[in-house]
Amino acid sequence: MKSFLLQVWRILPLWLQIVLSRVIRPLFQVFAAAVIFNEDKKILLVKMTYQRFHPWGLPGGSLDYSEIPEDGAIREVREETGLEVGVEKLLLVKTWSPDKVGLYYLCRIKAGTFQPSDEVSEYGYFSMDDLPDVRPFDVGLLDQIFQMMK
Amino acid sequence: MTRTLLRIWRIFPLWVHVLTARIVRPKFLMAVAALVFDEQGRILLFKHTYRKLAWGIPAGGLEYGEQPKDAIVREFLEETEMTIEVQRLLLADSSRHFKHVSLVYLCKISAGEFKESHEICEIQYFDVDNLPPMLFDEKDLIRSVHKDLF
Repeated sequence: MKSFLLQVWRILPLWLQIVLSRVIRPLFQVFAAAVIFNEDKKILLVKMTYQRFHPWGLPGGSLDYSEIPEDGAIREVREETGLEVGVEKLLLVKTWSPDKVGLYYLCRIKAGTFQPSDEVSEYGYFSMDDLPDVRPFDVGLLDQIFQMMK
Repeated sequence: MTRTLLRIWRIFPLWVHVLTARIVRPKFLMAVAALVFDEQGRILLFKHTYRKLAWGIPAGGLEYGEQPKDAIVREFLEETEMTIEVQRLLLADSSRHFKHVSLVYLCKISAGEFKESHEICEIQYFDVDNLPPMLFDEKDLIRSVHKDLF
């Protein structure tokens, strides 16, 4: 049965394959976030204005359609903080809720100083021992990132 | 203006946040892919039964709630009955034409013998300068990773 279905699939026109894929396959929200350390090996976190609970987190946001994931991380940091960053490498990828995937890029600041934006009111550098009010999931994530950077 | 809207946004209950995000945020098909090279630097490719361009990089779709790293191991096992080990995460790539994000891992085969499945009828190592007809994006990816590794 399965092999018959696969044969049928093969003769479908490409546009139909694309449309059907979006119907039958799971779809995910993708987030690109920036991991930035200062000289003291502390991590940059920002305080979101629009989150009532656990307002602190890594700078970053939703990837747009046809955007290169790295550019998404760079754009989000610029929009949120006014900082210009460059991507060094992709550190890790995690599914953090059933339909949300986070891409965490190690970045360094190239230019700019912090400017509060509509979305972000404050920033700070933190170590694992003095984290601000971050989402419970992020505690494990940040711990993993600190471990990787050792 | 944005600021006021974000302030209003903030007082909505959490379920409104979750629901709205689900509707307005871009949604992607997530693919995971494995690049496996042998000692001579040849790349392992799969021949797919159901594709117009039969040869391609071993890959599959992420399921809801699944970690990408587990997804590539599962897909490989399902399609070939071979077990792989993830060596490292290489990159995340998006497509300009499709609403699609791929996560590419460098892997090596740790156990098992190839067995045909509904989806895969043949596997073979190819010299990177002599690849079979396949997607140009995949060819470019293989060659750029090969250049960095060998």
